Amino acid sequence: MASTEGCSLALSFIEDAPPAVDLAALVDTYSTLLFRIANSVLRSRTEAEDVVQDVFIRVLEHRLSLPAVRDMRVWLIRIAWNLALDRRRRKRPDQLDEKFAESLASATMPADTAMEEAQRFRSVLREIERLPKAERHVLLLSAVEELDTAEIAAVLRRSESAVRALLSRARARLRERLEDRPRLKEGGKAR
Amino acid sequence: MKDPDRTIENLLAGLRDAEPSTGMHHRIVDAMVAGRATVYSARPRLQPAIAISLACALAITIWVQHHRHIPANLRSYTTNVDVPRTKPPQTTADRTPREPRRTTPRALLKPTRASEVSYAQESPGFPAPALPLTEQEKLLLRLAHRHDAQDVTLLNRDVQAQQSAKATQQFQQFFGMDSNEMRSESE
Repeated sequence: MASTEGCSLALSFIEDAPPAVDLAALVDTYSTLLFRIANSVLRSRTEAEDVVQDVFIRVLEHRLSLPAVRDMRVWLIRIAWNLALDRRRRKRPDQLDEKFAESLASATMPADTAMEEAQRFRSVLREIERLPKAERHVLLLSAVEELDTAEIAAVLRRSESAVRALLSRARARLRERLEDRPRLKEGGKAR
Repeated sequence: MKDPDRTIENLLAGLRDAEPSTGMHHRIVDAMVAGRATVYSARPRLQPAIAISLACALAITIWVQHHRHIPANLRSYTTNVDVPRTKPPQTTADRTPREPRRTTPRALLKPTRASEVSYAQESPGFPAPALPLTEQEKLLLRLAHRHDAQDVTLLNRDVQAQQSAKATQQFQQFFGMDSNEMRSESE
């Protein structure tokens, strides 16, 4: 994590912020988590960083009501989640997913297999986008390791049991569709 | 697809392990500082406008309160007696008692508190005494009644006969008729 020594100095003049809430500490603690949440939706580092920045700008705008926030972590995650979804609606999904799949494959695989792996990633991402909205959201939030079921339930305003059921269904549906994919392609060619 | 679970896990791990760039924290802090500066720069522009509008509202409130609690006749007393006369003297028409223009309902103009009622009734100058005429007002009165002396002389018979004879003489001179002709015509 980047050093944030300068953050507390830079934000020390924000005298309107209640003493109980240290904005610099918020940036330091939650920015990486919020980045991963936004990145799971947007699959773009620059877009995700912009979302994190927007989150803290909103926190600054509502700094006087910060002491009334009961669960700061969930509150911030929900802001980042909603901002990322809003931004995602304005983008073409394929445009972001192709670059993300290529960069992920090249980072994890040798060059000779990276192309094939990138193709598989693209297929998975496409199938994730085709999932029902609730299942897709639960699956994406579960990808962020720091979030447990209770927090995912709080962010999505669902019960924990519903989150577990949605996650199980999402994985099963995704696996089933991906397994059927070559067969569908072969069926399409035969016709 | 072969082994879809492995591909799904790899993909989710790629999302999970994503790291922000090293400059993100500073960029966020800079953005927050800039946002803060924007808020502060907007404030001084609003302050004079707010101060002016508050001052106007306060002045209107004081004026309304003042004119609501003082009865109309008491208000004329204060304006005629208490205020020093720095303006040019008024004419007679201006001095005639006039009903002040009512901008508020009559019920609001009535004194509501007992202290105000007693002050209005026990005040030595209630109602306001008439002021002496100014020089200009006296001059105006003289001009308005210029023919008063002539009207009074008409009541005297001798003077009236002299004036009548004089008028007859002027008439005859003008039309060239002598007294004999006039008499014969009248007969």
